[in-house]
Amino acid sequence: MSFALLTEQPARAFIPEPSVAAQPSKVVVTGRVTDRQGEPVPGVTVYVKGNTAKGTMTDEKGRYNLDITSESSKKPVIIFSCIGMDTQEITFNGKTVIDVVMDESASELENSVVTGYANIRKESFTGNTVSVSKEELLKASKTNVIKALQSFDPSFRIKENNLNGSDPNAVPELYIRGESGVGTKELDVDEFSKANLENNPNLPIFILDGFEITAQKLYDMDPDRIENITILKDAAATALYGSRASNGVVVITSVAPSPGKLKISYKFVGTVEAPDLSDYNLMNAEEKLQTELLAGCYDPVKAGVPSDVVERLTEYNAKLQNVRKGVDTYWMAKPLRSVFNHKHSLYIDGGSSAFRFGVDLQYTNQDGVMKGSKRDRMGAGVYLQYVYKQLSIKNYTSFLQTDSRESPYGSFSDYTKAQPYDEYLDEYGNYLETLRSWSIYSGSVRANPLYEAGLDSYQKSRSQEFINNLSINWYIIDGLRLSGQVSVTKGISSSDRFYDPRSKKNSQILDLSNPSSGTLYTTSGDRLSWNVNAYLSYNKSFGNHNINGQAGVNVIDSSSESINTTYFGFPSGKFDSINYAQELNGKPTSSESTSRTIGFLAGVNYSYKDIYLLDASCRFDGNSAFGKDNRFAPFWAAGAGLNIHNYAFFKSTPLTLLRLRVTYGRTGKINFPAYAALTTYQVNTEEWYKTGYGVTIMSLGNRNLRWEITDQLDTGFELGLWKNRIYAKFSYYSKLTKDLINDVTIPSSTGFTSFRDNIGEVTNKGVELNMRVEAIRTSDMILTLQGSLAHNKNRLRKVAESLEEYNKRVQDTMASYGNKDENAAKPFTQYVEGVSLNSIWGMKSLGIDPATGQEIYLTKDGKLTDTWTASEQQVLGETDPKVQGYFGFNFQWKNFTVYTSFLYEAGGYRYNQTLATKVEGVSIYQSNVDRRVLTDRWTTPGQVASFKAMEPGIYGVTSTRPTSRFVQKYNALSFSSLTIGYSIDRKYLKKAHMNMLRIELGTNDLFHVSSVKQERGLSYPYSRSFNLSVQIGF
Amino acid sequence: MKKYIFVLVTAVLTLASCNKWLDIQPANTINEDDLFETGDGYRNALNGVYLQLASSSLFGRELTYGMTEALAHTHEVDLAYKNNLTYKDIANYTYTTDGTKSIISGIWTTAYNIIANCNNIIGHIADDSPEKFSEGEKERSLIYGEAMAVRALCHFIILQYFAPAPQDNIADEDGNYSVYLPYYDKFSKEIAEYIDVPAFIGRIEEDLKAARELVAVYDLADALNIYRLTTKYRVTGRTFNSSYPQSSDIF
Repeated sequence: MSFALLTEQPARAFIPEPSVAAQPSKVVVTGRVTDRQGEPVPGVTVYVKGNTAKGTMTDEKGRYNLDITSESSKKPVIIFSCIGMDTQEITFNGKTVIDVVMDESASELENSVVTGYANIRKESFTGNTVSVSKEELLKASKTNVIKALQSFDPSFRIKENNLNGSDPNAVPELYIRGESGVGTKELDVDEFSKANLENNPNLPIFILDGFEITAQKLYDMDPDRIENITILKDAAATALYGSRASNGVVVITSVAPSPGKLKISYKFVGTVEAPDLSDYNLMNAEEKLQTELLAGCYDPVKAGVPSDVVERLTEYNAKLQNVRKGVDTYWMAKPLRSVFNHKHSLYIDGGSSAFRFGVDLQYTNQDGVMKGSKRDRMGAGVYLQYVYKQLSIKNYTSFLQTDSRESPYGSFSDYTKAQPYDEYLDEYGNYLETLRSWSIYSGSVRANPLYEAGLDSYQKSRSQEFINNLSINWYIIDGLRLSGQVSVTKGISSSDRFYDPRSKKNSQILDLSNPSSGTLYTTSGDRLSWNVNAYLSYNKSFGNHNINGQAGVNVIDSSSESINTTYFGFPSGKFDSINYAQELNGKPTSSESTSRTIGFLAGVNYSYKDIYLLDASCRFDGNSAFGKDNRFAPFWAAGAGLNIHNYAFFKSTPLTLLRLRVTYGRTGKINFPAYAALTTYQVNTEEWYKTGYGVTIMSLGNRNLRWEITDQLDTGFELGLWKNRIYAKFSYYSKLTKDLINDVTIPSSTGFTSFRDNIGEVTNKGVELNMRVEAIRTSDMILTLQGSLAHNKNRLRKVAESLEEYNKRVQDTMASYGNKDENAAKPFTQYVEGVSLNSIWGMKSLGIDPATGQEIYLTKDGKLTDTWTASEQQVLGETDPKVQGYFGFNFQWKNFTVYTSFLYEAGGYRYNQTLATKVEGVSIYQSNVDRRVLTDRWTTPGQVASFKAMEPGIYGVTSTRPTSRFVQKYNALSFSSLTIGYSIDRKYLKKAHMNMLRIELGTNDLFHVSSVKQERGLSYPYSRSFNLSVQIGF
Repeated sequence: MKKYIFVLVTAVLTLASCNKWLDIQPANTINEDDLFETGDGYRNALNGVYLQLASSSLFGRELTYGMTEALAHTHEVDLAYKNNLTYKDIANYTYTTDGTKSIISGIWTTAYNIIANCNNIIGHIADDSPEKFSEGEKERSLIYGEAMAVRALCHFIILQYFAPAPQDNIADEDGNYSVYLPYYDKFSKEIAEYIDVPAFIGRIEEDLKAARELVAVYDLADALNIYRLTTKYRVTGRTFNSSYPQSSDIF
């Protein structure tokens, strides 16, 4: 609502009235102005149409006196206007007492596009946007805003995170209209990070009430605090954000308090979350032992230990004894649980139209399905708004604390590999430190993954954020407004990782020769950012001309610092305070970063008769991350549109909306660390010469780093029939991202190995289609069907030499993996011209040779071979789907509602990692396997089979290197949300002094089906959730 | 007209002050422009170069008692390297294990990194005024010259370990030599051209001579000490004669 005040004041036309002889008698109109709640509205301007000079204003009690004696017209029109209220026009008909009830102008958000700098009328805007209201958003998800948005825009996608599944602490990575950057490449990925949100090249920016926030902040935000979300997609919509805009902009407007009596509303959401293991197909103890026998683990010759006949038999019998004893450990269940999470939001608001306030409180407890993992949020905010004459002052202060904790059980994959015939408890019911060693071949030390969970190790973090947004609007004259906004964000974060002295994860494990162990890694961070906006906006109609323009300046300064410290040597897991630590492990290190941006911007939206539409905007941005000579860059966009439905000819036809639009523009993005342009020196503090310390070059800067820019063309139409009961929107876009910025590998003879440079070009071309049909619309029943489809084609268009250098590194690394290396089975992406950023690389395969059981590969020039060569890999498919989108329906009957949303994608490919690491290439002797391990294996010469022969794997097995055999078409459908709601009739609530009671039942991710049968959620499983929400208003 | 000039002047002033505001220096590291603002900065950079030369991947170990001695078999291989398989591999001229690879690449990358450090000093000092330095022209020339000499030294290390001896680098039928190494005389991300061994030695000599010109004039050592550096003294052990030597005799 923060921008709602400026627009939509209907134009006051200054039409001279015909002059008539003056009225001699004195005529004074009096009365009282109230709002819908019966509260007086002070500060309302009251004047006669065409004569603003003689206007008056209501007092604190809402009373006014207006002298209309000298009016030329016999029946003058009296206008009542006030910021934030719908203007009323009342024709004087002799009655001198006129009481007026004014309505809040609530419909503004519905009829306008919120760009963050202005609210532009939907009717005249040519930019491509998607708007989501609070009600819609909450139907799709009550706890996760980012997830919910997938159900409103087919181009808005969360990057699949097969590793981290439903981990509450894995903040999703997302992108709009395809990926345009390379980001951190696979060989350089940091193992500890779950998502790459810092300097992510594909992430859109998020603007909350005019200011940028992080994706994590949106992820932690209470969806009930959101009034509206607008996704800005094309250049015309985003150009005012200039250098940050090319991945799209998500504009979030928070709920503003409404005037009137004190209102209290409370909402409870209870969620039951249960792990979804339907994609796992692992063996039980008996099956597993049988498989080991079939694979030849106990056949001394096959196993490669011909002299150990007795020893093999002993091991088999020992395991068989366990199986017969009834040992069948269901390892997967050990670290998992079903959880009940609850979320509470309380909102209190009220006040008069001159002064309003709102207070919000939220508490969300989100436990993950892996034991011990959680993410809790606690937040509070105060909103104050004061309107005085032409001035409106708003201030929103909020505080949010997020506490998160990782599961002590470690990675879920440890449990999916564990052998079901192993026992995990000793005879006293304690977790075994090591699992039973079956023979010399199974290793003398077999770690029990549950042992670590029983210790006092932990990994937790806390972040606190304090935000103050002040916004002042001065309505100088009709249509002209000066706005100033200042936002300050202060963030404090800390994260600790502690290894119990008994933990095997310590670098020095506790034993007789090493009496002290235990490590605590701490990081504390501090962040401060300032953001100032100042702009003038003008919004006016002159006859058939309608103009909405703004010009201003935007200044951003953000700095952050973090300190890393490592403590070593703790007496026990219980004594984890740093005071107990034996010593500091090295000096604490600190890292710092400051970046500044200044932007000058201007934009105008013009329409003639609401038929011919025009948009133009530009921004001139300067950023501290670039070298002195490349610091400033211009960004711009222009758009044109035609509202065919506004031609008089169509007025009486069923055509209610037909808009053609085309926009083109240039935007940019900055996604690299603040000091990449500088060559910096580090100080060698350990040794000094007499002449002082020594410094050496730390990083090779690039003064010539150019801005990464995106040119985007967007065109399409919107069609509405029978008052938009049938609605369709179609868009085509073509995005060209130039001068992609990335880390490049350079030969070490330059003295360095990596460098930040402009490396290439990426294109994203695609179409989007949204449809909505109101199949039923009666007075108490509405059924709306909706669906969407998006197609995006991603191509690398130009590749710098440096990326080829990286490809070589990939090939060298892959070639260096031994045949038994676990990483050998993993495909790595390479970057070449003409293919997608998400392509799957491997060798073409013709399948298993029936004669020998060996895999037959095809080289790039079509020769047959049975050896896998890293340099002979080629693109086998891309993970980008051909089409993706959502569909569902929204049904309302009286107070009863049903909402569904399904997500689908089709036409992409996946590398079935389960086949590569759990069926083939798995050491049957050492880990549990997928049930498919026994099917379709090659056994005898002449047999046609899909999988290689089973290997006993006592000494490890040959990994299947990336091959086209495991590339499978990926079509998927998931039931993302179902919500059934019921509002209890007001007449029953009156007695309880309530004005609203709504109950909703819902579920998220009830099922996910796909054509690729592979394990999902490798380090953290996926989950299903069921929720109940109760909303009460007083 | 005046109005436009005013607007123009304001715009230029605003942009200029913006530019200054956008100029941020990192707090934990030193920006090169700041470092070479003073003569002391050059000293620090040169100190850094010497510290790197003394690091374990060069003269701190590998080029002295580490890899070099293993290659030269100055110790009884089986005995001395009983517990150090990496040096044993080196002594047996096996260069493909992970351990040996990391020592070898350590020499390569450290030497070239020092070269880059020297080149950045040289690139800045060449056009810098002597007034910055507390000892004036003398200090400037010494730092300049020493950086040149270290650059030559590091290239020489690389030559020693990564290219064949000059007599093995013979021309083919067409009179072309095979190229082995790049010689860097600029601080840049651009890869220098690979050249053959005689040309490489020529470049080293060029740098040493240039360094001599800069250093010899201001050398702090007295005539006797300089004499002791000469080949003549080392070979013949003749006593010091004041008419002798010339600085050119050192090389």
